[in-house]
Amino acid sequence: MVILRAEHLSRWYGEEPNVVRAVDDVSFSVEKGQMVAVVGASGSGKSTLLHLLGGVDRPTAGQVFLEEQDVFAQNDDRLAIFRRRQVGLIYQFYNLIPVLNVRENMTLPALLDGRRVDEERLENLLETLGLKARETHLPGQLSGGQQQRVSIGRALMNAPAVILADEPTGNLDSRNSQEIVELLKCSNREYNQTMLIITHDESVALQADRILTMEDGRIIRDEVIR
Amino acid sequence: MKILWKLAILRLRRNRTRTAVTVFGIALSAALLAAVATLGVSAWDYMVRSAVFRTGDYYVSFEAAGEELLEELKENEAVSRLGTLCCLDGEYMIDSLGQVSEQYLAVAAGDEAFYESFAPVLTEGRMPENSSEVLLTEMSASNLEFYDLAYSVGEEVEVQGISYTIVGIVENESYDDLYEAGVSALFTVANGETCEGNAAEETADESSIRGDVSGEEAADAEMPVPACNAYVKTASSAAAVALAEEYGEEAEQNETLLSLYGIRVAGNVRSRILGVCAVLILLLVVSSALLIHNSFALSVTQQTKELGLLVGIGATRRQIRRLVRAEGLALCLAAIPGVLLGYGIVALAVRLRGDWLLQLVSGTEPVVSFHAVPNLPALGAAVGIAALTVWFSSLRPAQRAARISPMEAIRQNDLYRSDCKTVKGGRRLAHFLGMPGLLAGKYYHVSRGKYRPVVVALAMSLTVFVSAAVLAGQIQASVTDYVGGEDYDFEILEGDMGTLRSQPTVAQAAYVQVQRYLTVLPEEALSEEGRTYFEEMVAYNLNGDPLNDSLYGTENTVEVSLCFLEDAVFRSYLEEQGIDPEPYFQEENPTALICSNAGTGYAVNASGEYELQYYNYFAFNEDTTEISLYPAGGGEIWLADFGLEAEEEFASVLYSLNEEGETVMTACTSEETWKFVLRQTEEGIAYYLKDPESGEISSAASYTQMQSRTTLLLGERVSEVPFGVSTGDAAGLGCTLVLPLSALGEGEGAATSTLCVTAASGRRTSLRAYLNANGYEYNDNTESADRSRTVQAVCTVCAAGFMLLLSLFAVANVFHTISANLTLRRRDFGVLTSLGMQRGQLHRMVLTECLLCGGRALLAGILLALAAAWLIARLFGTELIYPWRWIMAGAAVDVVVVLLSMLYALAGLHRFSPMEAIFGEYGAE
Repeated sequence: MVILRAEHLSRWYGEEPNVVRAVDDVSFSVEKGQMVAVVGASGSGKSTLLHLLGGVDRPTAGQVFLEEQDVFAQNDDRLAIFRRRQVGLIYQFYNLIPVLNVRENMTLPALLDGRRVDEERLENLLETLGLKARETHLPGQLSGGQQQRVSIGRALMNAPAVILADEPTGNLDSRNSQEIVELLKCSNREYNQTMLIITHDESVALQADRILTMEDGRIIRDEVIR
Repeated sequence: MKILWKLAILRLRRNRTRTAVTVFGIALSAALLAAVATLGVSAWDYMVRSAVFRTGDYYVSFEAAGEELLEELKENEAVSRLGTLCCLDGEYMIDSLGQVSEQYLAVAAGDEAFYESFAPVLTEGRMPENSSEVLLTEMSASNLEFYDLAYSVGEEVEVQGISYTIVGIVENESYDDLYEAGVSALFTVANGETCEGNAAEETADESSIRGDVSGEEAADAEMPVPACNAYVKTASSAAAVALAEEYGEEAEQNETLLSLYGIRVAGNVRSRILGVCAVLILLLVVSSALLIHNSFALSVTQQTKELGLLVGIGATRRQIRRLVRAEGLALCLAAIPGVLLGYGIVALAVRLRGDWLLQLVSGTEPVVSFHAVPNLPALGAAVGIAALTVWFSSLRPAQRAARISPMEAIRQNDLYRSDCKTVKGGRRLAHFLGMPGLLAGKYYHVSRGKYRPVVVALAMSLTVFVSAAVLAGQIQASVTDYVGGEDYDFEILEGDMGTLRSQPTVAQAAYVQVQRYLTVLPEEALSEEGRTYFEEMVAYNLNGDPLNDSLYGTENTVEVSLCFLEDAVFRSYLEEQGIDPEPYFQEENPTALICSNAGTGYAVNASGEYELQYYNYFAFNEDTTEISLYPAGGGEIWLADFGLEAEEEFASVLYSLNEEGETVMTACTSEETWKFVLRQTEEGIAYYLKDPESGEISSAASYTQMQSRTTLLLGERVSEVPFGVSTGDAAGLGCTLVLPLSALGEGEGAATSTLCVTAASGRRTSLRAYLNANGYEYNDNTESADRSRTVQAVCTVCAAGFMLLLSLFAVANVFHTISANLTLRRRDFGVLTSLGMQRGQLHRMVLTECLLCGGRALLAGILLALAAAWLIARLFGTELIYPWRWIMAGAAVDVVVVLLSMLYALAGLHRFSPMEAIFGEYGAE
């Protein structure tokens, strides 16, 4: 079942003749439960594509459908609600809220939604992510790897339709990187979580089900690994 | 180092908003400082020139100076100028017995130095060029008219057979004081040499003089011996005082001029002027310092990464400090145009309206013009104060910048506090506001240090706003009291008052009847300010002699003006003041409203000099709730009324209290004294003679009065008196009490009975015409009422302008601080938005933070504002009136400013997409 679909997606900056086509007429779809790696050189448009898919940025042209819902047909408020319910974002630099502890950062999307937190799910995630002993700690008291786990936990907490990870291991050492990738794979297996991961790391990309290669804002190769 | 300067200038250029705000603050504070300094210098210059015009430019004078004295003065090194005026001739009146009665005309010759000290201001003509030409003063010209003599420029006047040609008319008041009142003086030049001096012993009234206005010649009359007066100016005022002390009674100091150089103006008026200037400068410096400090602190925070990178590259901490201070130095330059602007505005305002303002306050046309005086030291001081403010305001931010580590810069989130184990706060807010409330509480808790400048700025803005309002009110009240004047246009004494009040030209009218009483109080019932007023103002009369044997000779006796005010007017006034009117209108023993006594008067200070004092007091303290009233006589009694016989018919009276607390009236003639004890009876007040030896009270002599009011309940104390009520007329300690007209008993008399009327807008002339046409007898207060109202209006405008300017500092400060603080958290806002925080939730979060910050600031600001109001009340010697209205207004302004700042910052943030907000530092791939 196709869970995510992009049609003629474009994102341009500036005006002619100096326009920058960060994403240029990209169309593709992702099946539910698929783990897709997006690779490419710096400036190829990977992050821009990710942000468009997550509704964080609006395209210049084209559409994105998530669970057959036109993402950009909504106003800003509806888009915000969409993001916190349907999308899980993981950034390279964690982007945790510094004044909230681990528990609060992880449950932030649910709290923004005004819903009661699924305590059982939270406890499971804390255990799975190895953060149980740190649940009351602030981001400033955590290592980089721990912060990224919190970021993953935040993304998984609401069981969103899709997880979008932008270089989740880019700021980590190799051991932590491997652990993070394992966690993501685990989530993908256990929860049939659809994932798109941007990575420069070939070893990470090879662990995905599918690799999309981007260059100059376009998908130049779409390779199914498994 | 050049690179530091270059970096400093680049930083200033890059952050235009912050630079503009800081430059604005510096320029404005420098302009205001320059304006205050210029006004002060110009006012002092005006006072000196006025004094010189009125008294002459000398410090010490010697009347009838002899040759020996003149020689001594010439050789005295302390003397910088010695002018002499030699009296030459005079014309005297001869009485029917052929004796000299009075001098009416005199001629005197002044040397060059004299005319330097008494620089003539000619309204007509020119200076005399030889000893046969004279100047005539304006006062002399009007004096001569009394003798049917009229002289003008070009005419000749004969004195003792010598003809003098009048070549000029002099305006200076100082010339009029050179001779006794009534003597018309002519002034000529002394042939370029100083008078040799002549200590004349014989005066004109000891000799028989020839000549009178009719031209008859008396026989065997001797000519008067001419006298020479010397006028000395020394290098300093201290040298003048020393010179005067050296010569004792021979010398007379020019107190008017010397007091200015000794900076002794007038009693508590001087201390108020200095106090006002000090408070103004303090408010200015504090406001601008806060603005500039916050601006630098924010700049350091905004540039944390850059500064940290500089350190990482190899800049020393000292160089970082210099970098921040270099910015400060560059910004100091804004003080110069600010000072020029401030001086320019004052100069223009004084040029356009200076004389008008002086006339308004003094009630008379100024004797010399008031103009702005550019004083380089004062303007330099204004630049210096502004520059020092910038310098000191940048010190702390510079030190903080020097402590930034490279890692902090790279991490670029100094909200992370590694030593913070938990972040408290927000739980209670979460109950009401959900996640935004929780976040707001936590952000506020973590960012307390960041918000401290905002809290301080808001608290200080409220304090400054309230202080300026209270100060303006005190200045307004002081000036209004000084100017005097009633709040009504006409005081109708006789005429058809009923018809008058219904005229369309009448806007407001109040009928008032006044009774005069005395009350005698125990010591402890007097208020502190009343006691102080008595000691400073009443204990000495204008001649410096203590009052004695007077009705007002004790501080326990208080003159009571009981004003019976028209019921409707009184009730309306009470309701406006928020006072329950019922106690004042009750039939049995109504309560009286207490009005403060305020105004200006002369008092003798410790040095024995007269000083203008401003006073405002309540005679009773707050614990005094009831007084007994006794009829106020004229200071005398008719002995026969008391069954007493003496050679004299009248005796002067004095009231006091005996040990038993009874009022005792002591009646004195030149030979005898009687004491009466006053007691309340059903018929009124009875006077019982007290035996001086046995102390027994007899009922042999008793006297009852028609005015039977005996005790009075006292109610609220007010400083703003009701329309139609006048205060401050007492010769000694006084008070004005107000009752409704209906409380006046049937058959009771009143000392005065008037209808106070204010004309409708623009109908004053018509009303005056109506009064004249219909035979009303009235007092016209329009001029003084106009002055009072205009002074109030001018004070209000000036106060509003000053408050607005000070508020601009605070507004700019708060606006800049809040918006910059929010902008610094752009990334966090981007993350929250990307995670799904809606715009409304974001606004709620930010608003809650601002309210948390504002609430703390409000609390601190209210406390500081009350303290400032108390200090200002102490400065003016008045009672503290809690400025709740101004506090609420200031708080409302603060809330508006905070909201606008928040909205402005959020509007700026919303221009960025979440991605741009998050990756603005790092750049998206």
